[in-house]
Amino acid sequence: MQNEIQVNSATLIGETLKMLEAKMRFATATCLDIGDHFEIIYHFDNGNEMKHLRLSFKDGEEVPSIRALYACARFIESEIVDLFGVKISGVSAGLLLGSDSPVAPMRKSAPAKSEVN
Amino acid sequence: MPGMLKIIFGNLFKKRATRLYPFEKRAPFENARGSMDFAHMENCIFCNLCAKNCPPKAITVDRANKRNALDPLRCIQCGVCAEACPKKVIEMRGQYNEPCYAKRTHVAAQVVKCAQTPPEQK
Amino acid sequence: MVKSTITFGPQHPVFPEPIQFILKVVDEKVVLAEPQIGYVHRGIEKAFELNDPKDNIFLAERICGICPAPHTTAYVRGVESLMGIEAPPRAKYIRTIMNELNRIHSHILWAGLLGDAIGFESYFMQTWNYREKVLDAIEKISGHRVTYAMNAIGGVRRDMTNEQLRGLEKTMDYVESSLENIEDVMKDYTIKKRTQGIGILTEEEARRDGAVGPTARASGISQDLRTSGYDAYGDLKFEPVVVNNCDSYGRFAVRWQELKQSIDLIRQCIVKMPSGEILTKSNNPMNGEAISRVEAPRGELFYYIKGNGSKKLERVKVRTPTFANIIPTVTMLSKGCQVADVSVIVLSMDPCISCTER
Repeated sequence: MQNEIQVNSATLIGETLKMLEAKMRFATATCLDIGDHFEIIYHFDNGNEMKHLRLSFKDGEEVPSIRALYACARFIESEIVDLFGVKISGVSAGLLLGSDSPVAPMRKSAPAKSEVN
Repeated sequence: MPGMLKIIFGNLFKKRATRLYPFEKRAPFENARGSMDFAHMENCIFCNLCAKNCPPKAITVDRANKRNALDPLRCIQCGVCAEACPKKVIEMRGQYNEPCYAKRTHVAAQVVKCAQTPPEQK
Repeated sequence: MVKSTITFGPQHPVFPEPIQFILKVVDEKVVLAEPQIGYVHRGIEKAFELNDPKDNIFLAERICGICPAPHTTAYVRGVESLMGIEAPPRAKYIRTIMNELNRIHSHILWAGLLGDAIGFESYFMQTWNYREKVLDAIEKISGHRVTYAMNAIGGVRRDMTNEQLRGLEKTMDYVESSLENIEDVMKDYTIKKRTQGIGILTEEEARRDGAVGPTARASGISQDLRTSGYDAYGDLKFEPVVVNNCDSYGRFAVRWQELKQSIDLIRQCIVKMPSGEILTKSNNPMNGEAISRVEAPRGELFYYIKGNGSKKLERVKVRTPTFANIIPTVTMLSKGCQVADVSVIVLSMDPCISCTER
């Protein structure tokens, strides 16, 4: 994608801070399951163009939360933890799913049964 | 107050804003997609295109027995089957489906229309 | 200072859908609000990965019962950009008309619900009566009141005849005149008492919390994706509606002016409607990543679509406007509002919960 910056767990907060200083709005974050690793793309918008931070990490690795910088990241991060079962520091599961729901249903390894197909 | 009187007297002589529904039904609009119907089964060639294109997979085509079946509770009235049908067997009717008590098989059996009477029905 | 807890929802008369706010209350004042969602999560994002991309249009349509047009538009635009095709101009105009009709009926619905939350039920009745005419117009064009099934990958599925366009123009005249009938409600003392100064969200807070749509525009942020000129919006003349009230009344005013704007946009579309094809057919593989954003009635609708060249999509992420607007609402609630105003404040951002949880 255009305007994309690769980050890792160590540089995520610094890059996010730059976005905050540039008065970018945090639109949302997308989590992707790419087989051997995970990616979270943070989407920022300033009205004219979007910028993206792409964070790659291994399964089980704990990534930092950007809640302290952007308050609106709270629900977005909880949703990622819920649906993908990844670890984000200080974010607990239980926003969308309950205790008896399937665990991490959006992973590629999760059993997927589509009634239609 | 005068404005209010205007509304009160206006409402006394105005036409009713609502319809007395079960007795008085509005005719469906021209292109309305209320429910789908195998309207011209005599033309059907059982090509399976409708079943293949149906997003919720509500149609089953039985080529051997020459029947098509629709599960009306799965059908989303999108009209894709009617567009896909090469022989224009399927039509979208304006009339919406009737409410029903029982789900699945029972209602589906009523909607099934056969090209010819199936042989040796028990 | 005794703090007590009130659970507001998930089943509450003002909410058509389940969302819970746990309110910490001192006397009558709310000091803290904690939102709880997750009652209607359906796993639609997973279903997107399992079904055929063509069938997914109907799935996207069913994410939200109020705004099917923006959802499908955002989805098909994303898939089109993955395929590298573009819809023909006439299809773009028809999409724009459907999106604007959608916005009109959504805003009228919201105005009625606000009247209901305030306790002004005859207003609720009147607005929904006018909305019915808009739904009829939609049914005449698309064949269905709620699920339009108009969009297809590469264009639209149904063309509009000249007769339909003329009928639509008449409906717009009717809607405009009926909205004038009830416009005085905006000046009403009681409505002002219930909305002015209630649910304040300053510009700074709206930016910080990532508010979108009318919620942001009522706080003085000029943020309207239609200005980016997707579909036919590039050819049409309009200015985003922005007011600086920062309260519930401001959000009411923004939506009311947007209603008129949408009527105007539809008229412009009818005049400028080009002729020609309505569908570009393509079998290109879907490869790469695309972001597709559309201005839904409630704000920015965000689709992230990833394809890997195979027949199915690898990932579809949907971020609906209400999801972005929940945190701003918590900010509004936590400022010490009265318990009686909670319903008005929550409604003023136009919550759509089944959209939010997908």
